[in-house]
Amino acid sequence: MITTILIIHGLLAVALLGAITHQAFSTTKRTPAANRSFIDKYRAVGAASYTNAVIVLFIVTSIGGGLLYPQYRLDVRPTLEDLGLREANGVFEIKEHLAAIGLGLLPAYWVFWRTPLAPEGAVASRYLTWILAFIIWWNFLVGHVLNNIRGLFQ
Amino acid sequence: MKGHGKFSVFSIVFGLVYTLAFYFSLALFKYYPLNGQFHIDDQGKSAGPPISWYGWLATALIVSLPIALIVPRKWADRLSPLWAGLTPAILIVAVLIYEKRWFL
Repeated sequence: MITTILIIHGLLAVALLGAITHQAFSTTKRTPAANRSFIDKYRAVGAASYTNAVIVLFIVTSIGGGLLYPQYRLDVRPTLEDLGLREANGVFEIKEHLAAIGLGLLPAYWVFWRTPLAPEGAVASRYLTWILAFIIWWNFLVGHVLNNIRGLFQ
Repeated sequence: MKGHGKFSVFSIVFGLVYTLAFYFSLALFKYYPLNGQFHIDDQGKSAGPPISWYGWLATALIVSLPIALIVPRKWADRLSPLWAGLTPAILIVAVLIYEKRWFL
């Protein structure tokens, strides 16, 4: 059961990562259509349309993480301590705090991406999107490294 | 910008309260996964390691939600949208500074 939750958690995280990265890149400066590179095309998306998907995926992925946490606390964390991998526990502590801060900022993120977009909220929506992107990238990478840590640090 | 205030207040207060809750170890409750029980009081070593994260989230929620609902909309909308973006960034920096203890 725990393996199934872990796989679903990982798959949802991939979808979340794709959605937030598209949206974050779309808030940066765009180039005219004639000179568009691959990156320009990657960010030429309707940013606001990603908002609800990001919120739902963030909440569901966090619930998955919350369900996996007891197993981590009982099995993984003591193993990391036995292996002397103190830093690994440190990056996980940061992961849980960032997830909490991310959950808290979702209402503000939603309201600033609400359509029609208000010009006064453009800076806030850009900040919040990049902060969420940082949180999601950190949590994704830390989750994957910790999941594979025995193979990585033999 | 009208209508953002209550949402921004919730997000700002939630982040602040969560950060204070974990810094001062003020979890509403703790979960003991070894026996699958929630407790308000600390349990002995025989109960196994606790998880405070759920309790910190609950603490942040029960403080931030009523505040966001009670604060008058006019007042909340006076809040600059910039604070909604800046506060989580400041909190993340604070978390990273505090948690550097793991890497020393």
